[in-house]
Amino acid sequence: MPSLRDSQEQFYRAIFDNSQTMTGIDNARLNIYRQTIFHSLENALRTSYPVIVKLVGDDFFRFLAQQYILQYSSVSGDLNRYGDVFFQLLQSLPETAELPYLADVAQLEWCVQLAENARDHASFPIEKLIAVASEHYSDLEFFLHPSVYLLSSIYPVAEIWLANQANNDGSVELQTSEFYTLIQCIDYHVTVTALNAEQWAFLIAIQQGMSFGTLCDSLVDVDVGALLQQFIAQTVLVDFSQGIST
Amino acid sequence: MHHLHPTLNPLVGIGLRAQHAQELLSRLPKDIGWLEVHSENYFAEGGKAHAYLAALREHYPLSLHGVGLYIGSTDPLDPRHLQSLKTLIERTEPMLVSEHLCWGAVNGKVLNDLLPLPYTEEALQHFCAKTTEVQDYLGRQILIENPSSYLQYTHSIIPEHEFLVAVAERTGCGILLDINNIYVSAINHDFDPNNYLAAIPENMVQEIHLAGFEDNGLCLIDTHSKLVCDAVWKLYQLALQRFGRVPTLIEWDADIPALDVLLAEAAHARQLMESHHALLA
Repeated sequence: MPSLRDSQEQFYRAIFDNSQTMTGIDNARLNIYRQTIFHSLENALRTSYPVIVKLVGDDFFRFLAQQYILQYSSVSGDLNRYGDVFFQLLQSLPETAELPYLADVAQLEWCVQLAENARDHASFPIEKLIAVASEHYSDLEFFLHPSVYLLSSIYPVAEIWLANQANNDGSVELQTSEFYTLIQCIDYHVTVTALNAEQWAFLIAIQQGMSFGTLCDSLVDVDVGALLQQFIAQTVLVDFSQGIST
Repeated sequence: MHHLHPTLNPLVGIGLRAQHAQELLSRLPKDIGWLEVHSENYFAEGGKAHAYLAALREHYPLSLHGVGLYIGSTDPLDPRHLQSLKTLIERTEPMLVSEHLCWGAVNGKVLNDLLPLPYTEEALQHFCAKTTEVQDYLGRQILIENPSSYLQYTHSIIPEHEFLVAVAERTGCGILLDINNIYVSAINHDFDPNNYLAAIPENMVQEIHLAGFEDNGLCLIDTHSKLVCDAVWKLYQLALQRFGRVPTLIEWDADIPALDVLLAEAAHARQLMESHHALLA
């Protein structure tokens, strides 16, 4: 009699390798599990990557999903976490080599999903900031909203994503350059915004935990005060700490 | 017997699905007395689903139904999964927490399905030890649900109902009896569903599930995508006779229809429950 572990390993092999069967078990019945498992993993990917589905079409997406399922095991009983490295498959497949922007669009879509499910945060304590004495400004450290994700790409991924939302026609003039994207979710609504190089540098510095003084020193010729006001107003920044007092 | 839920009125609930949340909140139908969700869909820290759940939780008691802990896997329990479940329990204060009699992962690779166990003494000891571990970690009793299955292992020697009852006896867990799953498995494996029901002690069943299946020609498939069929309603009436008035859930997970379709199913379950009760009175 096989041990429980042997049975489970044999079952696993039979699901992912059609040439494997299980002793004493009708292959047609095993097929029901093969179909259900592939179907629910594929569905999880479809739910997370609607723009990729739109860009490549249903049939090709099915092919991509099959490849992903065979190459990348699920590691959690929470199906919502499946598909986090879909971009890696898109980077590596010869079949997607002619669509080099797909991988970055996939990364953007995964960030959208993470942003949608991020925890909420109270609004920026503006009164508390006003109360800070100006000699302490350089020690301040600002914090991003928990739903904020920052993504850079040589493709205009924000534009591609926006063009493929409902009611938009999907057309984008494809060019390569440096494109910066801000993803955030406020009041259960995700926004995907293209950033310029200055906005990007500012938010990356904040994300890295740079103090306001260091940030001002490193971003010369940038109106840091204006960016600070803008991102507080847009709920991209939600809090600050006074840092180490000197 | 079911004094645990004196405030549930009616005792019939439905599975909360995202597309119904807004409508439920605006209508707050009185035809249902509670809601059930899949625990994993609320493991994230925030988002719209949590906001709806919190708002609905003000009006309806809640049951958390897990589909991804896979207690029967020989892998150790996933500590992250357990932690997420515990956090969710603290956040939502559910009346019931349930998992399945199944496995679903091996060597860290997850199949994301409710897979059948071979019913052996080894599997029984393993399942009991892991169930105890879960209950100890969560600090509360959980319910274990009988699965639907499409195959049986040749070395499976214990009837499923005996296995399930032994788990409840040895671990103190409760039973979530899925009437549709009994029917589906009875057809697929050619056993008498009435005998299955009769073998479950009266006081172990704390929740009942009802759902619809599809027939693929070879097997009945537990798709939760159809109305409850007549044979399952009949079996449910037998269950009511045996187990009394147990909180009963209408489950629907695929091809999800309008909310009113679910409410009509719930109303039918309630009617059967009340006519059974009237017979006793």
